[in-house]
Parts: sequence; structure tokens; C-alpha cells
Amino acid sequence: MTDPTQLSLATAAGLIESRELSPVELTDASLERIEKLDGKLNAFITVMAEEARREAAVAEEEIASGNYRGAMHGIPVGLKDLLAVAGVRMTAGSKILADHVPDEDGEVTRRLKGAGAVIIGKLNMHEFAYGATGVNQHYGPARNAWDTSRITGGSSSGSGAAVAAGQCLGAIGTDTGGSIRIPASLCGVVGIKPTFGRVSRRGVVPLSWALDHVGPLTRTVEDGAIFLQAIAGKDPEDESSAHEPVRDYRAALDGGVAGLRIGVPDTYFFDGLDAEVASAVRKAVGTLEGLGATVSEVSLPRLDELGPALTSLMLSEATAYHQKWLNERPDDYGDSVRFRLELGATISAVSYVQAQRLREIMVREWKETVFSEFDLLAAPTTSLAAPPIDESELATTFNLIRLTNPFNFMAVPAVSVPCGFTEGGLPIGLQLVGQWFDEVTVLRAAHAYEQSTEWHKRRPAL
Amino acid sequence: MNTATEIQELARLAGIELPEERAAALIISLRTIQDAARELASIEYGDAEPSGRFRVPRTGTK
Repeated sequence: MTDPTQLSLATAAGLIESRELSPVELTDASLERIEKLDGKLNAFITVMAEEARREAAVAEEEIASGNYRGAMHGIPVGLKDLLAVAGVRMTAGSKILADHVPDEDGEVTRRLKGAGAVIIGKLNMHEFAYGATGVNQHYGPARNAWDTSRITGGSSSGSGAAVAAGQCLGAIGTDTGGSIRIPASLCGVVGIKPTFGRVSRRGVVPLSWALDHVGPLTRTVEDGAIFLQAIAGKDPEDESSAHEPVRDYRAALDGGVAGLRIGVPDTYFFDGLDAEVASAVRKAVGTLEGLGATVSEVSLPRLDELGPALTSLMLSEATAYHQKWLNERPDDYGDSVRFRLELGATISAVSYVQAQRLREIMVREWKETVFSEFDLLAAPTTSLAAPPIDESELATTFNLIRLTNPFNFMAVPAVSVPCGFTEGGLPIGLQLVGQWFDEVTVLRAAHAYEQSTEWHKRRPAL
Repeated sequence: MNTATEIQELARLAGIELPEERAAALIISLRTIQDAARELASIEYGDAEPSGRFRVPRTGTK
């Protein structure tokens, strides 16, 4: 058999179910790949080799005795290091939580364990998820598998690097302003930010309660659909999680895009784009049109009002969460994170409330004017490909989140799918955005696009 | 406004103690925050309520 770490999650799952691939063999291969590459990539903060081998052996035994649990059974996955796993250190990429060991699993962890997934380690990230580069003063930067002198994007930096490099078959990230989709775009993998409330956040270190989302990064859209299925759904102990029924994401993938109405924003999303990114995304939209979608321009209301509202929500909530540590251990934060947290202290309560009122207005307006006319929106995920690691963190973060954070504010599902490479060999991402709780249509279109191209088949030379 | 002392006072109201040199480093960026506040203040909100609402805990009534 070929190297099992190079298989898609869906293919590996099929082979495990038919007992042609052993979870132990797959987990060992993933651990070997981590051992071989992580000195170069720095994707992991904690490798859980012993636990992973133990879980893989249990999965193997269960499957051998006829108790196959489904497509995640025996699949090695990584978790961003802000998701709680009982008994395993959870740093949130920080010095402040460097020795923190949760005594309970978070809900996503619990669901993954219940699905039989093998948790192989805790992944590097931007400190407290508060930045989009993945450059971390405490644990070092995760490095892009396509060019290790460049960032992965963040804040789910290790998740992007590990999936791109085949160190695990899928990873969990979180997304407050783009932190799943940005590393997916910059690392050439698929990233899914579901609708707000679709996936429980219990047991996840928060950045902004109003904007945080949890979702998977994988090599293909089908893999993402399988992964999302395992973690989606109401968590009675997380009040922010939604009651909306969970559809069968994988079963819906083959519907194609014929007849879907896709809106391409007429302003903002194509302003100030790198020329290669613009060209790749325009071509991708043309491909979707060629597959039968109806494509036309769309005006998205109030985009110019979004920035101030996002700033007010995110900065004030982050500072509120960190208030105690900011007073007691200010020197234990990295420079840029501390700066943002201190700045958040200057936001007025009135601005915070007005931002929430604006959100209510915009959701209503987009529902009435945008999603009455369109099933999906298509836009670039980021305005540029992966920048070098040594560029200014604050300026780079601002550039990277500009095209993704509107959809955190709007709380709609959004996927980044690879849509090309620069001449320098760096991945480019297409962002597809749908209506609230319509992950099915977003995934279906992303899958149709992906299957009509070859981008997802490229692998970095490591 | 926008001296380090004023920023320290603002932060204190938010429950954060900032050393003077840290407050001074925020002076330029505070203008962005003030611009954001002005933009948010200029919007007509009508009867819109905040999106984040207090949720009454379930009582488990049958």
C-alpha cells in the first residue's frame, strides 16, 4: 500500500472499514511523519503518541469485532491547542496557560472520541487565537509546508501546517475572524467555518463569544463533510449552540452546482487584491459558471460599517476575558497580543452595544436582500498568498482577516477551498459562503468545484 | 483627549491597570477606536435590539 498518511480521510475510512488498513498502522505512520517533519514545521505543541497508539489499538479491536462506528473511526486527527482534552496540557499557545491541564473533555473532543477518532496531538496556534499569522513568541511559528520561510496563516496555524503536510488526516481549528479559512487558504487545504452555533464551543478557550466558531481543516471537501458531521449539533450545555437539525453533509455532496445562484461581490472583496489571487479566483468563479451555476454581481449592504463593529465586539470581549491575567501577568503575553488586549480596554460599552445592534440589522438586511437572490457568495479567502514569517504581525493580520471576518460577523457558513497556486508555488483559496445553517449547499458547491480541478491533489515537497 | 494619563483612566474604568508607557503606546491606535465609535454612533438603528441576548435558564418544566 502507498503511504497511508497521503490518503484522504474518506479513502482511509473506507480502507479501515473494509479492514484493508489498520488504525494502528495509520496512526504509527502519522506519528512517524510528525517525528520526521515537525522539526521543520513546528505544527504541534504536544504530540500525544502514547495515547494515540492506545486509542488506535482500541479502534482496531472494536472494528475487528464488528463494532465499526463510522467514518472517523481509527482516523488520526489533531486539535488546535485551545480545545480541552482531559488530562492533556492545553496551552492556548500561551505562556499563561503553559501548565494548564483540563480535567474534562470539551464537547468537540467528546464527540470525536465517541466517533472513534484517534487524537494524535495538540496543534500550534497564534497566542490565545488573537492574531492571523500563527507567529507565536512562546512556541515559535508554525511554518508553511509549501515554503517554510512563510507563515501558515492563523490563528489555527498548526492545523493548517499539519493537514497540508499529512501529519494527520484532519484537524480542528477555531475561527473568530478567519482563523480556519486563512490557514486553509495559505496552506492549500480545505477549511470549514460552519454557521454560528452549529458546533459546540464548550471546552474551547474563547477569544470573542460573539464571533468564535469551531470547524475542521482537511485535504478535501468530502473529508471536511465527514469531519463536520462528527462534531455538529446541539450541545445542551452550550447555550450558544443551535437546535437546527444536522443534515447528512457527505450524502449531499454530489448535487452539483447547476441552477445555484452565485453572487460575486462588486466591491470590497476584489479591492487591493494580489494580481495572481484575483486571477485565480476569477477563473474559479468561471469554472463554477461552466458547471452550471448562475453567476452575477451582488452588492453587499453596509460592508463599510462592518470594520468598526467587528473591532468593538472582538477587542472588548477579548479584553474582558483576559482582564484578570492582564492585570496580574501582563509580561507573560507576547507583544502584539498584549497590545491588542490593552487597546480593547478603551472601547466604550455604547460602541459594543451598537455593534450588536448593527449585527441584528445586517443579518435582517442580508436575509432580505442578499440571500433572497443568491444561494451562495464567492470571493477570495485572503487578498494575498502566504507572506514571509518576518513581516509585521499587526499589519499582516489586518490584511489577512479583511475578507474573512465579515462572515464571522454575519454568522454564515463559509468554506475555503484551494483554487490555484502563485508562480512561486504558494496556494490560493476560494471562499464560498452560504445562508445560515445551509452548510449543505456550501459544501456541495465546494466539492463540485474541487472535483473539476486538480489543485487538491498537489502535495508540498517536504 | 489622548494623553497617556487619560488612556490610563479610560483603562482603569475598564478594570485594567496600565503603566504609563503602555498607555502612551496606545495613543495612535486609540484614534482608530475613536473613529470606530464615531462611525457606529452615526448609524440609524431604529428599533434594533442587540444581537447578544441574555438567555433565561431552562427550568426543566414538564
